[in-house]
Amino acid sequence: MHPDDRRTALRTLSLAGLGAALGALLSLLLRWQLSLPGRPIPLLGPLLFPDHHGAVPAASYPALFTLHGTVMIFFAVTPALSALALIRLPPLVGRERPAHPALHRAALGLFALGLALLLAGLHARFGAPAFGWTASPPLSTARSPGAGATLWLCAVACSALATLLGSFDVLATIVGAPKLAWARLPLSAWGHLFAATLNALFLPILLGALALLFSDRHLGTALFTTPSRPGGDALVYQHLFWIFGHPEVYILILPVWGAVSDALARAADRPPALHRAVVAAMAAVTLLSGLVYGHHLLTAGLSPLLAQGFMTLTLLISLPSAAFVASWIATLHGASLRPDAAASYSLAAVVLFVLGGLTGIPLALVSTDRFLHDSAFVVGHFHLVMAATLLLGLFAMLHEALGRLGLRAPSITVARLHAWTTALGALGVFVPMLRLGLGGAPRRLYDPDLYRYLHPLLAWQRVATVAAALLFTAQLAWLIAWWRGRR
Amino acid sequence: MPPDLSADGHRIDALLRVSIGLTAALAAAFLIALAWVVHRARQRARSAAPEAAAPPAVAVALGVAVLVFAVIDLTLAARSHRAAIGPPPPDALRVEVLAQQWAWRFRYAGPDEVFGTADDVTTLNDLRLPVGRAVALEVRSLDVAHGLFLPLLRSRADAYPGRTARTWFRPAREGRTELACSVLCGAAHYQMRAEVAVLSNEQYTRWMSGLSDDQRRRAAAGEAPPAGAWAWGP
Repeated sequence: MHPDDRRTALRTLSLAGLGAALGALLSLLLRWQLSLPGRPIPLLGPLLFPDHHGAVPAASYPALFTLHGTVMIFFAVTPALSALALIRLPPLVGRERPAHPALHRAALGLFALGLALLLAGLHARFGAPAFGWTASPPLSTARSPGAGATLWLCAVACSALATLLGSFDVLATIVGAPKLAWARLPLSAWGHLFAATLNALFLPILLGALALLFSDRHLGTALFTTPSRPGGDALVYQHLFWIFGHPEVYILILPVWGAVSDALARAADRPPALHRAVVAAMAAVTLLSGLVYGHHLLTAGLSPLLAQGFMTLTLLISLPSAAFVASWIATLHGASLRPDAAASYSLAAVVLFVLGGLTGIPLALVSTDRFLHDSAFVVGHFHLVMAATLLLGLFAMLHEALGRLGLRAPSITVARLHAWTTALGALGVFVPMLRLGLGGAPRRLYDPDLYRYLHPLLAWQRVATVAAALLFTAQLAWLIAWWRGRR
Repeated sequence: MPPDLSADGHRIDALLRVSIGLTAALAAAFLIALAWVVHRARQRARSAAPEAAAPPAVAVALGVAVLVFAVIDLTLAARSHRAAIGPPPPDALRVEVLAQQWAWRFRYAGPDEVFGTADDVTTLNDLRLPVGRAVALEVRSLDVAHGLFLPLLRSRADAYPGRTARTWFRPAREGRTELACSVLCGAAHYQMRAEVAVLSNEQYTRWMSGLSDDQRRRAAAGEAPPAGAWAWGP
């Protein structure tokens, strides 16, 4: 690997690791508050919240989950995937270097700038941004005075621009590869290709939405209006955000699907089963991902016809998803399997993806979404896919990538132990969330204890918190194991 | 699921049970198939047994998996359509709900059944409903987006500022429950709750006439009716 690319990749991965560590710490604070509402947090609490005897203050709680979501999506998973594409892609398409490595270097600078702006926003006058990672107006505009929200907008815009630049490089690296045999293009490369395509299509929409929010905040417009300033419509922002927001799930998961397919095939020492069908399934998901976002708005008063349409399109995504899982099983069927680290992570990722993907079905149905929308069930569902499956998939890719970076990966025993502890921990955190949601627990509540009907569910919050501690410890243990044997 | 106080919530609950059951069954099917295939493949690797040739049935299995999902999707979509609640009956009790950071204001039209008149009755964070009669809610927001969520009445409506959200349900059992805000609306979002009571018809009538009398006395004393009403939608 070229030393310049290696440096860029290592730094981007380190930034992503920093983001992930911050996001994980924040999630532990959230979990503590949800299982022991208002109780002081040992060790960290007095440092973070000295005025509240170490307990999470109610006003800080939304800021904590806003930062958690923002950091995890825009400054952990996204840069990690960008770096992994830089490391893995050139050899997959028979190139020495990516087409435009300078784009990835610029992306690193933008990711770093974005993260710095985001953290600066925490110290802004009138407090940190506290409107959730979706930044819905007017909560994020008229009702969020101070520089914190503006810095948040700029930070996310930096991450979006960085991702866009990296994606252009991915597209150019694949499409411009000399003598590229499309029929034999590995599924990992297809995953990066489709993800980059979605980025190129939908990130400009996010950037546009952020620009409009900025305009409402600073240029005196009322595009996403408040009732006192009629003119625009807050719901328009929801459409703009989710047109990007839903494909984002597939932007993050498509490279993982590709990597899992290839890792399982390699461990089984045979080509991935149904290669063409899997590419077609990836293409179908890419196409559908842009047409299903309306399920995020099923309870926002869509016309019944539109809601039924979005429901049907959303359910259709289960078809290519079923095809992926069937192809993984087919690849292993009759094979002789010697799972390396990447395959172990991949197997764990498949288990969590099956559960995470299927729990999307009750959310897609208009009638059941009436009960489940904005509940803890939603949080459990998307974390099974976007946190658990992604984390395991990223480790599958990382274990291969470390070799190319000239770094030693932890042993296969460590990898296996880590993969299955992570899977177990993730199930322990997110399955209780599904249960809480079925019990009617809304998400984003600082103190669920305030509601009588939620009292019987408190034990599930505690199970999730204990499992979160296990999940966190497993990551820490991997990091220590890797650090001690890295050279 | 929490207890259901509504007449139609069982349709949502039934579909939820079916979809969760199917989800669990499909997950079990996939995971058992995966575990079996992995187990056999590991055994083969350990015993150095020759690999089986890729079975020709693989493509068929894939087709079947996709077909199974297609059938399940269509069935669930059709059931969801059947469980849809449709428009409220014309004799429904109408209540206007004005959401704001961080409280719920409920407005009953009073004896004249017209909103915005002197006999309107308003309450704060206190919604009382008669058992057995359909209740139609129109929800508006005064500031940011809020979400009206009545878990035990299986009802929900997200209110975006500048728009009117609508929902309806029929309380079937007397009891006390809670209304939660389900859309993040700021620092005290978690405190934006209201008490909900489903009363017998006598209790409800007594409560309502008490409030109406109060309202009439205030109007007679020249007090303006509470602001914030709107013309009920079509």
